[in-house]
Amino acid sequence: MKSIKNRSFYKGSQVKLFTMDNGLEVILFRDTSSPIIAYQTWFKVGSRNEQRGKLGIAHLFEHLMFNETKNLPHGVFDRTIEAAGGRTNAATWVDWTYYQNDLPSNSLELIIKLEAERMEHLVLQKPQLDSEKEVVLNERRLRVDDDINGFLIEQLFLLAFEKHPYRFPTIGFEEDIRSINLEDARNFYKTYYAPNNAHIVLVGDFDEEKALSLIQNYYGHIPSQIIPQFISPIEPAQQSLKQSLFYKPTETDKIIMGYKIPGVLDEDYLALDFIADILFGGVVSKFYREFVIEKELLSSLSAGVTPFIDPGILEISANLSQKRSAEEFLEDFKKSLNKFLQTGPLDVEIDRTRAKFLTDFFQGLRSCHQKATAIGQYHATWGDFEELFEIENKIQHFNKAYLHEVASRYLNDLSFSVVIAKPLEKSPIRP
Amino acid sequence: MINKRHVFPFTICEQRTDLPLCKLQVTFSKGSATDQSSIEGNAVFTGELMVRSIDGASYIQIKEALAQLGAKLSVYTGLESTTFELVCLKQNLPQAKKWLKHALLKPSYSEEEAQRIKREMLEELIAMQDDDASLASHAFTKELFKNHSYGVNTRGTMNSIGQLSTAIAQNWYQNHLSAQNAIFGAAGDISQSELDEFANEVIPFLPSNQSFTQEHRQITPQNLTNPQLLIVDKPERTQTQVFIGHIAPGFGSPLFLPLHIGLTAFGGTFTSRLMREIRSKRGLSYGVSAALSPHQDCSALVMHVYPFAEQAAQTLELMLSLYDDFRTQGLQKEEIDFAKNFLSSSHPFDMQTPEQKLRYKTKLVLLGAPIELAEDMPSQIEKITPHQINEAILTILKPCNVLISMLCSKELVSNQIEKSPVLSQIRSQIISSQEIY
Repeated sequence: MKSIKNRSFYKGSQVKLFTMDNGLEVILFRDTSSPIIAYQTWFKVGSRNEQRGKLGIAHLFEHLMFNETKNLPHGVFDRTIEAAGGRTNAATWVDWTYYQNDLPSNSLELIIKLEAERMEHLVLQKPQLDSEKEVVLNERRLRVDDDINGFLIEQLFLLAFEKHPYRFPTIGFEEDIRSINLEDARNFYKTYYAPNNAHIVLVGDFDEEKALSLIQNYYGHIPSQIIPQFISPIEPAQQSLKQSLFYKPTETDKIIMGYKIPGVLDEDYLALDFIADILFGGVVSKFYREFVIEKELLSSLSAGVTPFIDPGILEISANLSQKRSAEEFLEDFKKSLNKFLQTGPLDVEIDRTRAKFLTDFFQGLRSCHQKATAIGQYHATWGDFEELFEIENKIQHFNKAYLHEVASRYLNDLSFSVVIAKPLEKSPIRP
Repeated sequence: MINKRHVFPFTICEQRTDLPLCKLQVTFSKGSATDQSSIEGNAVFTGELMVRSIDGASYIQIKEALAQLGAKLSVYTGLESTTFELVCLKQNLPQAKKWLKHALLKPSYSEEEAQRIKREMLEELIAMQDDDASLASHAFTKELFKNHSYGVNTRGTMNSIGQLSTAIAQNWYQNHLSAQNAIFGAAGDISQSELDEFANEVIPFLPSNQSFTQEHRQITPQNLTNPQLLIVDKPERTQTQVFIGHIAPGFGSPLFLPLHIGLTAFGGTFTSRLMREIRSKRGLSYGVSAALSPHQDCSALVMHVYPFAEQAAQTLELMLSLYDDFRTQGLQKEEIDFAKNFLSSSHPFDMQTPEQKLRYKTKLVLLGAPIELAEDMPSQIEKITPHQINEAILTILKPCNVLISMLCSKELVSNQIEKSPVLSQIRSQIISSQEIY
């Protein structure tokens, strides 16, 4: 186990990165305030690595990782963790899949053993595959088919992207999910679930030397593999505004919009996150104040930047007030945006957003689980967990001129996509 | 175990300085359950008005001042509590806390803001039509606690919101917020002496309501005497949201903790009996659960599942069958030992951060429980015997009391129900999802 770097955090706490001979990276952060640990494994594989016809396999596979292994019958993994008083879960997105465990701190060796076991010895059987496919299809209905916001987000990505796999939903489509077979799942496991494609994050009350020794003991023999390089398809430049319209069982118009933005490693990314907050981040933000408070055109408004490795979207979501239309809002929004693009942000807006970012930063690192997730995600996406701790410093250097220039470069019609949903009653084909 | 008479005002301080974050809050033991039927939503309305109209400052002025400090002032209104909460960085606490103090002591009750809040509340009710789980859950709660204040529409109704006014809000403030029902709480980089100083600045100026008591209400909600199925109809649903349950003993009852342990084994973890039978074996639902939701007077025993529309009846039959087996046969020792161990060993997660500790202890005080339970809960769980657990299950669970609320598209589900020998025997009624608010 080789020590790569240490990063100091608040009041002398330290985040440390180690690497093993087989490529597995280990990030440790001691927090002895409670007798618990958060143990997470992040794999650098997500839905962007999928092929057409098998969309949803990364997420379905995540479900399968909770099934039997060579040494654990079906159901024993979860039961063992809960018997120790712990909780286990996982999530998949476009660039990564991660497995999270929160346990009492005296269960460290247990979780290291269990996680190493399923990284190396997962057993895939048809009954479990078939059952989990049904569960995932149920999940799709919950999050997309019967959820208006989930549906609109899915449509936005399908519209905004032409070539990049980010256009497809991580949960996949029903047809694809049903078509995934045992061989697909086994190949997926063999290809991507390797130590050199993963990092472990351990936060909480543990002894560092013991933790490293245990990890070395249980993972050290697992061989690295050749991970296929992801070649990012070149997304053609958008030539004009894109728009689509749907009629759904909802009470008021809804609109989801997106501007194309760079990936997280681009120097403009954090500035765009900052600008999104100035414009859409809560009551005092420019557009919330104008459209929700003053004009009451909208009943809600929010926005965020996708934390993706490759270029993503600044996503804006709004509910229209009763009797107001999405078209009315869109026209008004464009006028207001143009006005903003002429003047840029105000100094008071920049100061306010800086203060908010700082409070949000610390709030997002309260529990062991939150710390582990933030560190893990940054390491998976930015490639270096230290970027998380650079935020405070970077935003200190943002100034009016720079933010204005970034906003002008990205917030224009050539990168803009809009999806609107109107109530079924307004459908022209409804009797 | 409980029914402790706490001395108010009460203070709870969970100091920890590992991060420069502070939370300062004041919780009052009154909430939406005080709303009369014609003015449902009043407690929520009043709380919002208090944080949005302070000492002559407008909503935007307040928000701007707080935003400059990176601070957040919020209000959370539940059935039996209202909490005013401030979150900020330590360095900004001296300036930020005055906004919390003045929200409590100098609410301005701006007419303009009151009207805006009412319009927002109406829009919110409309937006809630998009949340299937919330609609089904609310329909369930409303029916379960029919004719009792626990069935109140906390966010109001399309009719009641129009009746709200600044005068009614002021009246609510005077009659329900007082030093005699206040819990002052702090979490993070804030000391007991700082909390006491804040409390001492506020307490003398809160409404003094000498007749205010902490007595629990004597009236207990009544269970159904026959099972009932409430279908909430909404178009184009490919999935159903189902809530099943009935009224159970409150936190203070000796049956509560045994029943809580029993329900944890039955449906409270990922490897519980319900999860195994519904999700793992059959893939019928992405999730399924069973738990007690405690109030001062009673609890609601609630099971939740969300199957495909085409499997709604099949899943519901299976849920009722599992409930029946649970009721009549109880739990095996292994299941009981597992649940007890899980609850004891996972207790540190409920108490990990200072904010979580504060929330847990505040809840104990609101329920009239000893605050020592926050640390002592694992040993209380350990003391409960398998016999007590199975006795509680047998005593409390009754099929005649069961209420089922199912949000679905009735044209996809009605036929299944008619054909089911079990479900067709249950008295049913159909309402539109739009009738709920």
